[in-house]
Amino acid sequence: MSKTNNKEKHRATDIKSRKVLVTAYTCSTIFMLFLTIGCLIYFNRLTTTNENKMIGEKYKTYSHYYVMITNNRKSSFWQSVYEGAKAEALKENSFIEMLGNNLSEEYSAEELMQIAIDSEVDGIILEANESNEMEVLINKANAAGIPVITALGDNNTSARKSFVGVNSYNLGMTYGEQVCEIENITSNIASDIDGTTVLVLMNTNADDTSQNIIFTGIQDAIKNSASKSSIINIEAVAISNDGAFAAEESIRDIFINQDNVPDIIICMNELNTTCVYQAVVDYNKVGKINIIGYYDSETIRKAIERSVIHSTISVNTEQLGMYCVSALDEYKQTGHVSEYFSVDISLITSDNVNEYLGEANEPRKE
Amino acid sequence: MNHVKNKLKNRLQDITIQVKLISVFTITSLIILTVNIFMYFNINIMVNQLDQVYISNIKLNELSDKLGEVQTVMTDYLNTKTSDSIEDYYKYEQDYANLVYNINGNITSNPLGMMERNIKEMSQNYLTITNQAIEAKRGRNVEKYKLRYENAAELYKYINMYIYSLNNELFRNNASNYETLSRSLQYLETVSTVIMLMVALSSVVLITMVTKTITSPLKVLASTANQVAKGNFEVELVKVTTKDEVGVVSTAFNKMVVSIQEYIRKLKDGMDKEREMEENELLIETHLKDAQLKYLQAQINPHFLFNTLNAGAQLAMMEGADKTYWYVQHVADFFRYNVKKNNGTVTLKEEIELVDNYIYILNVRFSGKINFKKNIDEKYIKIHTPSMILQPIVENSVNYGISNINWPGLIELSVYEKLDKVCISIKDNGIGMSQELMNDVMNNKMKTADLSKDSNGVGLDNVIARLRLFYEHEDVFYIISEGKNKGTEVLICIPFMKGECENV
Repeated sequence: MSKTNNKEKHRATDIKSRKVLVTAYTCSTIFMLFLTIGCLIYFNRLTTTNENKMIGEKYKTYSHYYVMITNNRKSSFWQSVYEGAKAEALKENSFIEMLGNNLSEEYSAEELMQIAIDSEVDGIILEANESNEMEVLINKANAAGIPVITALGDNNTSARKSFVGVNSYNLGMTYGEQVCEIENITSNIASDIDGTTVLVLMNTNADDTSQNIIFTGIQDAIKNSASKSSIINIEAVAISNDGAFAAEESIRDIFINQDNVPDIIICMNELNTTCVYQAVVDYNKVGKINIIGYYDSETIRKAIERSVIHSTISVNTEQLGMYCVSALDEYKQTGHVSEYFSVDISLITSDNVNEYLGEANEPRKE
Repeated sequence: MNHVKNKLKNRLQDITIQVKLISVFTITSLIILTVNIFMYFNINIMVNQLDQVYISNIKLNELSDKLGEVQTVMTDYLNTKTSDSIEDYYKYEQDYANLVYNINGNITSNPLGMMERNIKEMSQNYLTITNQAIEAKRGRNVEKYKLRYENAAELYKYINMYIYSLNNELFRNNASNYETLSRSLQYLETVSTVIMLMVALSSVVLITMVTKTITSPLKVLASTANQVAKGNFEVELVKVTTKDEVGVVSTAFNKMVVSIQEYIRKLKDGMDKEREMEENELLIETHLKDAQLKYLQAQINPHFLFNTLNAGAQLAMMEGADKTYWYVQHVADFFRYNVKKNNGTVTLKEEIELVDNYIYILNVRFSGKINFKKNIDEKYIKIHTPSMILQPIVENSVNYGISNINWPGLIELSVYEKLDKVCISIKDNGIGMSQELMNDVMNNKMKTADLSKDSNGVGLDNVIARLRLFYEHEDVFYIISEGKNKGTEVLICIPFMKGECENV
């Protein structure tokens, strides 16, 4: 009896062990297969990402190649202009490059202009000045069949196709109005006999008519608004921006001469605004010198918030870039384009700076 | 479904060990091989990528070198106007033009690509200008070639700077690419090590299991074989589950065990038959002897003998010969007793009467030479004893005890009680017995051939054996003798029940 039992038991365990064996066999084979397949997939993914990292996503090909040449391409102002231009260019299947970005040497606008001409680009957006050299280059480009659009700074006499910029007279008027507003606030407690001194920081290039127009605008605005215009003295100072750090040094010079410190300083570009702001803080003139700035970089907005800068004139940079590219495109398509595009300006004071601050905190939309 | 399953199962069981081992080895090897191939493939891809990355740098360097050469030979020509330099110029100019031609001039969003494009455009312009300069030099237009040279020098500067910048940018990119690659290679190393370890581990497990399926039936087979070797042929047969080599061996083993069992059974049957035959032979012999005996007995019919003797006795009585009549009558009685009471029990009285008859016959034969004395307690003469007990003893005493003596022989028969036993003593005054002889008699070592011719066939050994069987006791028969010529006493002590004597 027990023997047969044992027999059955033995048989049962035999079958059981066989089953276990078969399962183990299958399991280990499947495990190995899965391991291999899993690693295959993992590695494929890894190499693909590597490829992407190294070669980059497949670049799109464009029909036109435009370049943007500015004096200060790293400033947030021009970066913003570039973004606006790029967005517009992409719509028209064109590619725009801020020339000089990847070059190991720093070149002047003129040299970059020469490079652009030699590179036979399809169009140039140029922050021009009224110099002869620039005129020659623009004409050379034009002769080579490259349309040149001047942005913000014009070269009126050259063969440039269009100018995109701020209406200088309007700009001057806005500056002047700001001066009057400051005058109104301070005149009540004004103690100085000499009246209010307004210092306008201009670029060294005296030929630049737009500066003159701005200056005229300021004067007109002051004349129109206030009866006390007689005691507002407007002075223009040329700030050199040819050499490196020249602007900063020139501005410091104004402050060093303690006797003749102006009450209001009007800055005509982003760099000057930032420099003046820093100088005012450094020489402890906050509250004594009012700054009317230009452009709304992060630093400038912060300064307005802290009331170091009274107000700043913000140019719609993206609009500027956009107009430049659309002018180029228009010329490419039709062969002619409007001579002048006006870009919107807006005033930022301590009253509305918060909107711009909020805007800056948000990621920039293109 | 089940059918298919069974079929599959059968297939699996049909697999031989060789196939099993080969398949396991092949599968694991294949997996390892695949993984390895895959790894090398990936490494190859990565190295190719690395090559691609650096190839652009190499190209650029080549471009830069050629440009330098073009500029040098142009300057040289403008300086010296030698034919060697113009030859070199055309050569280098062509080389450079070819290199430039291969540059991708498409407009893409890739800034480096745009730099390449600019290099291409500038180089083409540069070559145009240098050609113009060379032409002007040939035409000896000093103003023009000077101007062109200046233009070319400026452009040369720009192009060189561009190439340099592009090289720099590419190198920076490549540095980060290299980092990525080296990291991937590290990943690859780790992952491949892990995979190898895992695969190796699972292969070991797999192989262990497969070998177990091979060895475990072998173990069972070995243990069964050991049992058979120890002589246990009735072992359980080894269960054959597979049809591989071990299965074949197991089947053969099972066949062997079965045939051994069959052989043993046949052998046993043969032995049984032989024994039966021997028994038969023996039986036949016994029967034959029995028949012979019956035949001999039948020859001497006792009734015929009694009737003959009775007829003799009547004849003697009619003739008036009284002594003859008594003699014949006693002889007839003696033989009748022999025939009737040969088996079964008799009373002591009947036994004593037989002794009386025997002594009478002997005294007639030997002229009253034997003195016979009886000293019997009448209380015990009804006791049952086996027949033919006393007569052989008395015969023995007559034949051996007193036959060859010089003094008158005396035989004394006494019956008395002693220690709750009835003792029957037959005593003679003959030659006596040596101790050795007594032992021989008691231990039944006397040979039948020694019996005298006058005996009626019943020996002392027979008497002793029957007494012992009858009373189921060893101590019933004694021989007492004090030595030579001092007589012999045979003493029979038998147990009795009181009832037996009272019935008397």
